[in-house]
Amino acid sequence: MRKLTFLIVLGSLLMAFPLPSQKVQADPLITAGVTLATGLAVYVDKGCDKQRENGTLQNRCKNGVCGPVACISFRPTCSGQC
Amino acid sequence: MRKISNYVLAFLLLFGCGKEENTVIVTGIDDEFSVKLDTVFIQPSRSSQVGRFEWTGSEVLYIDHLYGFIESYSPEGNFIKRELRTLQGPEELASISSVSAHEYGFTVKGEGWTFYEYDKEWKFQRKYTVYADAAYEVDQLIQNPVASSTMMYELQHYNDHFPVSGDYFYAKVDCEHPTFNAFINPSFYKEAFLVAKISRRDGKMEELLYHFPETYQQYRFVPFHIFFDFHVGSSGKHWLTFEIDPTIYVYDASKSLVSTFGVPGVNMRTSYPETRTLDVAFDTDLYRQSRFKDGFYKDIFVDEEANLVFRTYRTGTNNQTIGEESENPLRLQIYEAEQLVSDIAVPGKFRLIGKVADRRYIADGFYDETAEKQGFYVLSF
Repeated sequence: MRKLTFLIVLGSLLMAFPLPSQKVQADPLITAGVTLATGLAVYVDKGCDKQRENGTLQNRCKNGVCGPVACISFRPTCSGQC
Repeated sequence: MRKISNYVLAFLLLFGCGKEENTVIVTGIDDEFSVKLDTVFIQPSRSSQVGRFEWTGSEVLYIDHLYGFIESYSPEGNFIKRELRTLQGPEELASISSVSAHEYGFTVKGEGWTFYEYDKEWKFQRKYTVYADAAYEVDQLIQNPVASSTMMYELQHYNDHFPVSGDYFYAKVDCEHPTFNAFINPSFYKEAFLVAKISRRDGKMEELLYHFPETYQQYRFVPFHIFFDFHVGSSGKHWLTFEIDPTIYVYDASKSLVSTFGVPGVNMRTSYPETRTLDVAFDTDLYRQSRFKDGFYKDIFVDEEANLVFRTYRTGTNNQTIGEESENPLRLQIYEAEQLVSDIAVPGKFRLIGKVADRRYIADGFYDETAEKQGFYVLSF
């Protein structure tokens, strides 16, 4: 009984304070977003805002409209039509 | 003499006399008073019927998006003059998407994020492109989004307008960072900012204001209903209304919440589809459907002097033949001293833009491309 109590308490502690070696399951949706972000990094440029001022910034397709968005946006590029 | 009268007649035909038609007396549910809605047609020299009306304080402006011009009309619909048109050349106005009239003149939004400033005589002053201070390396920001950084935000184009206050204008903004966005991240609905205060000197995003109300926390998630509207009063107060929330939020000049009020609209379809993946962001059909199937709160206009708040909402429809937002039935709530006094049906593109006189207001927009007619509404009660 004492052993069982000890195991229950130990198990509770482990659940509350996971060991560094235990990998925390990442939210799959956030993970998908990070993957997408990595793939879209090619669209982002340090000179992004300067390009917007010069009018050369690439447009992105958002809600059926091809237009300028934030440099950080996940939207795909477009030219004219969406 | 005959030649002169022919010229006069041609002038009248060309530039049009406004005329009132379609006077409608509208009585809403449990109304104590009735509302009159007149349609005033205008006859521009040419028109695509793709445009909008704005109010200067004494004149109605008609902005034609496709032909690229701005013309002024009296509140009775009589043509006054052509104020501006798009011109060639790198410093000239390339396109016109909206106009804000204010005490210093006019702020015109052109293509993209470029704005043009004019004085009260429509004399060009300067142009600028909206930008964010580069406080972070972009690579850093992708890996570690910072909700308070202006670099994360873009101008929100849906139902946009740019009220001016002093050396600034206010703009709706959106954030679509790959991991901090309305599609996949609950923190977005707590931490994302909604309005940017932008300098009219150089276009810099100076400050970010307001967050979503707690109502959004009950959903996982409603990314196609993150839209909202706001009114900037001359007192510095701001009124905000959100698509899925019947409450109207009032902030004082220091941007502190000072009041909330508002009741649900009638017969609204408020069973909002919830989505949790980023993929849906690329499904344009889902966005379009949210505009005509669902009920949502839309525009807000405030007459501070009379303590009147006007808020429109769409009821939503299950009519499968409808595909345009303007065919989603629109209704107008009128609040007096924050109490609902009227709730009436209004035309699909109705949008209050200004006050003409006591209990008399101007609204955008009648557009009939088939009949080649356009006009504005006059609401009185």
